[in-house]
Amino acid sequence: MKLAPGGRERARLAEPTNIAFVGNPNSGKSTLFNALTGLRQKVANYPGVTIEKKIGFCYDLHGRKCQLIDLPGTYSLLPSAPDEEITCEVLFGMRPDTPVPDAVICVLDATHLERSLYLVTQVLDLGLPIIVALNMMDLLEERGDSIDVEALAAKLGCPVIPCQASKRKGLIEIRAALSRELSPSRPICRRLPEPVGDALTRIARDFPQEKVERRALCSLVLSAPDSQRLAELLAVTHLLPSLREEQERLQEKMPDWRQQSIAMRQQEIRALTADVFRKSPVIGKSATDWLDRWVTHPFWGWWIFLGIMGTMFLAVFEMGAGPKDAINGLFLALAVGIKKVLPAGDLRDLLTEGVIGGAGNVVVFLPQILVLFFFLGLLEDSGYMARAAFLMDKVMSRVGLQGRAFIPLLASHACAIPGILAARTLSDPRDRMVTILVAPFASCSARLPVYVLLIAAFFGGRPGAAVAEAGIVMFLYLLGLGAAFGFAWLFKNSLFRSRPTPLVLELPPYRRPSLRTIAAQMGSRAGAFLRRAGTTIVAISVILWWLTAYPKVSDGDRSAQLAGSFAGRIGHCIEPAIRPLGFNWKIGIGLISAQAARENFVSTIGVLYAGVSKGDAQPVSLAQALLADRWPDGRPVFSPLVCLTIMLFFVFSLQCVSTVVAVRRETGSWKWALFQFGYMTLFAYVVCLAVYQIGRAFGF
Amino acid sequence: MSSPAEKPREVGPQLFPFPLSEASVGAQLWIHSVEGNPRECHRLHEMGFCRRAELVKLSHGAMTVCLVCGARVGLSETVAQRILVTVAPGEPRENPGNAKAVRSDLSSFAEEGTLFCRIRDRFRRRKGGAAG
Repeated sequence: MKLAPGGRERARLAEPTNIAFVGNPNSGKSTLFNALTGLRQKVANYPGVTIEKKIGFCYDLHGRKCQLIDLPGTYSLLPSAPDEEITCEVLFGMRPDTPVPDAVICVLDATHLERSLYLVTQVLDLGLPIIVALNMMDLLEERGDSIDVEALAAKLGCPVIPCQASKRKGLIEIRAALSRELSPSRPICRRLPEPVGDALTRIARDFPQEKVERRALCSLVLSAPDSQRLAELLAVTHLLPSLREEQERLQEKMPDWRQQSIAMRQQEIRALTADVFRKSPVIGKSATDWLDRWVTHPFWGWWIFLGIMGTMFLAVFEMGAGPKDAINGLFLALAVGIKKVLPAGDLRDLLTEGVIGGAGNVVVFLPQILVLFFFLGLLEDSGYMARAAFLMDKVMSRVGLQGRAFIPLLASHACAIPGILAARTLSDPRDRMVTILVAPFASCSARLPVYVLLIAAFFGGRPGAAVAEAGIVMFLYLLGLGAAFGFAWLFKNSLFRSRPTPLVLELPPYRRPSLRTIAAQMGSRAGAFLRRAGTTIVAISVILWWLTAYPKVSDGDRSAQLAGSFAGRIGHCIEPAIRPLGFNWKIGIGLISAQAARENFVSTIGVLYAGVSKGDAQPVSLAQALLADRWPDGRPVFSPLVCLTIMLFFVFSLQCVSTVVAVRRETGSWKWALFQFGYMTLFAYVVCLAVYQIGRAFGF
Repeated sequence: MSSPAEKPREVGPQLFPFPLSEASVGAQLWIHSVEGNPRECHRLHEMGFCRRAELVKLSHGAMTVCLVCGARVGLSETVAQRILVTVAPGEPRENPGNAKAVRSDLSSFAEEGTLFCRIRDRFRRRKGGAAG
């Protein structure tokens, strides 16, 4: 393989060849990357899934190691959002942590050849060796269309490989292409309006020699609507005065010079496409047309959206309840077994009350979390996510955001951190900031154990309970979204005033969800959940158990021991602050431990209520233990009103250290991370106070 | 720029550029120009919404869905108003929105898909009239 400057030397030293994956959003880059590297990067059927660069390795047919760099999708090399900037930085060789790619694999969606070729022609201008991977050939064939691959390769001057990444077809050919010698690419779209060409020639002289074609970079900076940002990216801010001078000169001569330049390139692409692309003469109504008719309908679309949400939550309770009870039974049996085997003492209490009572009570919710991820996977992989954003645009524009911002909010239902990262796809920095600030309102999977525990305590086992439980959870999820919209409106009308960016969103065709992809994602989520349960949650449970077990103040009386323990003393200190919300000190300790991760609330409550049992060796479930707890005056601690208040606290507050750190990283400042933590906690407190006090006044 | 109450325009020759939001569903169109913020215009051009590119309007509901460069793109009402289009050559000039004449398969979809919008628009018009 003929490598870019410096590449041959690296190959000699057995350093891996760097290959960057570039393409339009949703063209299948990550699927191909996963297929070649064996990794499991997230893939889904909507634009903007990959928002960071990912590194993986594969070997070409000569056994030489290749470092593959998966990059966020972009429509052009003029970045309009932070995720696209990452792609451009890597390609331009301006990212300090990533070497200039030795070659580029341009992944094209074969069904959108004409649109995809725009980016390909820009990459060809850079002069880097290129391999074009024509992905989704199966869909093209299904439609009855065809591409003359050889003719396309001849016209582009680089290898073109048809493939189907989802079925691992074409991988050998790609690896074979990586093994062969690749020449630097040559531009194929050379036509430019004459004044633009002249201006380029003048500026290119002063443009520093980069690792990629300087005329291509120069053309990008000149035509960028925001030259300043791109000039900063390319470290050529010293050329800005001359660039602006040329831009003004061009504006006088040809007011629409930018549009003309793009139109000329598009004309050449259209001519190229006409030569290689054969469209089926039969145009029929596709399944996507039929489904979109209903799914994006201004009236029925909403009912479908609510129906899908309702079904998802119903399934969480119906499908997840059985396995959850089975796991719960296993842990209870394990606790009984340990009690029989081990003599009474700290070790036995640590295992039964600390580890099983804490982490075990969190692990039991794994089946329900997996059901949630299964449904989210179905929505993501089918193509519905983009439609949901589309449907939401009207609501989002009322609060000042664009419909695209709904995708980060939807992603936050799995975990707030990917949702916050997904805000990188938003072009307006103010929209991005507002989306980051409100994204944690979307109920993440970590809140689900809390909701399920508290709801199940009251409805579990009753006829039709699953419907009521699903209804309450759906209400809580919608409440979170409502709070996100409300605060987005507030921020957009105060701190981050800007005109809402109108929505332009590609709607991918509907696809049958890949069960393999969904299963892989569920497996990875389950692994992450169990790792957290086995590390952080176990550690916190053990610490908490120690805090409840020491100092020893009473032998046998569990309540007296708890009250006199370190945990009890801390709890009683904070109780005055939370008593107006109807919370006792144990709930307060749970809320403190939930600051690290929300699931810790369940494990903490599990440890604090671990001693409750029916008889000597018959421990009860956590839900039953909660129902048995009473205030000194005999009122139940976990009344329906208190349970509702706790759930509301979890809906509105930000209790996740990882999220705070992610916000700090994305906003570049602790100021916004702490502001978010402060305003969400305060809001949660005020809402809970109002709900509890009003509820009490009405006799609940 | 017309008000939302006047949409979608169903009849009448369109030899001059008109907003995409006013085109009938199923119509095959050519893009004439894109107006608005330079950044947004630039991105739209790069996505294929450039002069003389072919476009088929697929639906006109909560948003406008169109087919451009083989890709299905959803546009908010604001964007659809900023994209000026003309009737594509070959489209019957007497009625650019008559999808049956060009793409019978899309027309039924279009007619059914906009039923709600028509009722809504009629309601808005009446409401507007009453208010006036």
